[in-house]
Amino acid sequence: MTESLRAVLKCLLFSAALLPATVLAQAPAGPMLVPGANISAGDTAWMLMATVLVLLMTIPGLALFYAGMVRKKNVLSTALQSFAICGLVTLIWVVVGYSLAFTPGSQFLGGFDRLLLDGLAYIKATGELTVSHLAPTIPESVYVMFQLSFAIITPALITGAFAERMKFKSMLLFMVFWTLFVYVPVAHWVWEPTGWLAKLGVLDFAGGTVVHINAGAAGLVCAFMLGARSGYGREAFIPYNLTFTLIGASLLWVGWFGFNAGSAAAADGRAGMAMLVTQIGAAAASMTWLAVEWLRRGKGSLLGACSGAVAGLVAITPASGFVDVPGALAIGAAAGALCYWGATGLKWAMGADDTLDVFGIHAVGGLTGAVLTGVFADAAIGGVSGNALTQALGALVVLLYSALVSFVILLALKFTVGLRVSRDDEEIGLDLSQHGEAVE
Amino acid sequence: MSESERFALAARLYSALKRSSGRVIDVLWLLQNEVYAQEVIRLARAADAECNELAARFEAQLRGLPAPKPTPAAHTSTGAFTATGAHYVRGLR
Repeated sequence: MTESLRAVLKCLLFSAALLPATVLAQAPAGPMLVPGANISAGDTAWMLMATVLVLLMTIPGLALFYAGMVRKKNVLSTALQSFAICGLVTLIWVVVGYSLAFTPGSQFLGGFDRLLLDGLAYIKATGELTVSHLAPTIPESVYVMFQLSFAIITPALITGAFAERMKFKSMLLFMVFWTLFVYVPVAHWVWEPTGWLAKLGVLDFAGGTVVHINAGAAGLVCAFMLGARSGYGREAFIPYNLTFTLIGASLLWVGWFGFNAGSAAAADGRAGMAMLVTQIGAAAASMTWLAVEWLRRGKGSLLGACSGAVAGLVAITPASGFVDVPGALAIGAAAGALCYWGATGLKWAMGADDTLDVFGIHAVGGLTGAVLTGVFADAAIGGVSGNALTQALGALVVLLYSALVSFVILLALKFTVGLRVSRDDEEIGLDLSQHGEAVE
Repeated sequence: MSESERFALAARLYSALKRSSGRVIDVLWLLQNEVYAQEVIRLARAADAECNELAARFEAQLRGLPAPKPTPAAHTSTGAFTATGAHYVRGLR
């Protein structure tokens, strides 16, 4: 890419910036060029693997998880949304997303040092390469990819809230703006050491706040803004094939080891602990959800077991590099019960048609995990003790910010390109009306 | 009603008839031949509530009339929820 194109992009981005100019001030620490000897082969091998695992969570994991739960006429459109977001967010990430999220900049937003990944280097002749200050033993290229896989799954999670009724082009536009104005700054606030929530001491090992509360809040706003599906609350919306959902949930569960253990950014004991507590949290939540379902309905369901596992995985995410086995058991059990309520009682009380329970599972699970990280964080594992109030503050700030900015984006789209397909298109199904394809 | 909508409706009728009575119909011939279409409608009228509703909609488009409003698929003729549908009325979980 030429320097002139970079300069034009910088001008455009500066002029469009909604934040004060002070946020663009540069802090000293950041990605740096180092000798190849600084790189750990073990860490790099693990992070390459972890990146693949997290990407598999979205395609095909989340695509199948969601596609199995919608009606037959919307299966392809639902799966396509996750797939399309994978491509879309990749482009945003390499152009500007990574730079604004993971270079120092100010406490609110990163800088433009890595615009179009400018400066990211591997020099074969000298053996030198760049590393991120956040993961100094792996190539920066691997760190960019690892964080990209998180940036992809977060907006893809939101699609579950508006499934079966949103225009495809509106969905794509929403995801562009949401990634830029919500995901990128929130990732910077929490994960970049100069970010203001990081400075406050908010703990989020792998994305309970950045990914799940963030996506859950946006999902709820989407559900309210788009309105309920035609027939919601009166007709039975039979899921197309819950076997797909089981396969998707399984891919999510396995991929989550990359998500959580990969967030150690090293192949070390902390990554091992993160992997262990991830399995325990998922198992405890899945069994708790099944037990609650059994008590209330007299039957345990496949969807319940899958939902419980995902709830546990969500809740253990912020805690995974900080808690021990009893902490994981407690977080998993709490998430199983609370997310069951989130996807049933709370959902009905709020009245929003959050189609696939993005808020009930991801926001409720994320909030549970975030607060309980403050309770169970063990300084012997993560080097820090938690504070439940600080955790709750961080979670609440992100929830409100995500909801507010999502609302503004959706409002702008509603009065320009429109959000929702026509009633006829909804009746025919999005597969045919939006994409001209159908499952036979 | 556009061609794709007619096709979608015919395809739904195909699925519903196959599910309720095991009968397999020719979707393309249904769209092309009115006599065949009338016979399929007669069969669907005698099947379950979902087939009946789809038949009414298909018949309306054959005659160029506005489609009748769909009735909730999960309800039986007595107004009670069917065993499989009731669980999914207010959500999946």
